[in-house]
Amino acid sequence: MDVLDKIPGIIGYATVKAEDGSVEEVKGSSATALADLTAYFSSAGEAIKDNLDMGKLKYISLTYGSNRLVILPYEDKFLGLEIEREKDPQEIIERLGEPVVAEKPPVEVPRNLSSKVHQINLLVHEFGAEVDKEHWLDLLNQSLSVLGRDIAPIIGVVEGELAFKESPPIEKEDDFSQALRYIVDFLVKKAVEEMGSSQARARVQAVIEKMR
Amino acid sequence: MDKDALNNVAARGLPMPFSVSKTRATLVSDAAAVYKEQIGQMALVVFETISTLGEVKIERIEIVGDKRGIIMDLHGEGLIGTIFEPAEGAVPPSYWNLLKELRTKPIAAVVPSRRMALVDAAILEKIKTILQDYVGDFTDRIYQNQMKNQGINVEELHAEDVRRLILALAKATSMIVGRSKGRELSKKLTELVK
Repeated sequence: MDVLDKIPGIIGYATVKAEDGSVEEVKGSSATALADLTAYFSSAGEAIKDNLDMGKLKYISLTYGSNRLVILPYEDKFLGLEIEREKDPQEIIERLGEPVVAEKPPVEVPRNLSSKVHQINLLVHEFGAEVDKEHWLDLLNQSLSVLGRDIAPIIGVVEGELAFKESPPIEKEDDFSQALRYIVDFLVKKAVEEMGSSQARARVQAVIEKMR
Repeated sequence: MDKDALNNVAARGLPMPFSVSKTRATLVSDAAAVYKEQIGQMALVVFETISTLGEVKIERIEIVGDKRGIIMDLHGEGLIGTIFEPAEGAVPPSYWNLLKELRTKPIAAVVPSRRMALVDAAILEKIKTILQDYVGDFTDRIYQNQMKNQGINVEELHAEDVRRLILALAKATSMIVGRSKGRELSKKLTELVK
């Protein structure tokens, strides 16, 4: 389901098996227990649908706080997709049906934002080296969830790199810049915590060199 | 709320309104009478599923099939909702507006719940001060994000909202400074609401 990583608007997602509700995958930067919600509510929704003779299930939507979870039957699974509260579930369902996500117009990102994203990717690469990249990608997702709430729907980890899934709105450039700065700070603090200040400093220095 | 209130919103465009309290008192409009038993069973499934999950405060549920759909607005005392026949596109906003209007009327057979108690918003400043000791420069950002994520309304702050916020802040703090610190923060913040 890696295609879900590329769809703008999806903050995080979980896939569970329809047969037994076991969790197959949870990805993205959501702070909510998406797997549990998807597993429990897909089962509850199926029972309610049968009881009320509702026909074929199209979707279940749960609204909480500023987001909503849209649960869809997909082959032998249920997908639970977290999107912003105001978004229409039908819209995200239609997007899933689009054949090739890559056919969309190119993403245009202001230089200062693309530079920060590049810096974050270099930090993750440098801190994770060859062996620990997954751990640093997890930390990156965590920081997006905790510090980048406003930007999470249109930026995320795609194929192992932080990337914009669609062009950021011009009026929100400052918000994006600030959130990305927090993420850089978070990653550097984590590096100091995990590998000591001299090692962390050396790796940050290596990133600075690469960015010149 | 009584049956007349449900029939009234039915006359104004809500197809088959109903309400179910947490004590399982089920009220249905005339249009939904044929589904009364199923609505009671459905509400039981919803309440049990939500109590299993605990932490997330679910406010609205939509379950949409190709023949029929059901939407529900949940609050401290129970749920109100309607069955409808789905058309193309989103659930009509007018349905949600009419449900919101119904929500202002007390649900039948309600037992007063803890949810009703209002809390002095000054507690939020205390929470923020303690949070600062754990996440330093990230305090404002984490606090604001979690306030938004949890949909906290400062003007109408309930004990349940504060507990939910504390859980969310502790979880976020765990991600930033580790689980033991997150637990420690949770303990300190929980002291504030005891």
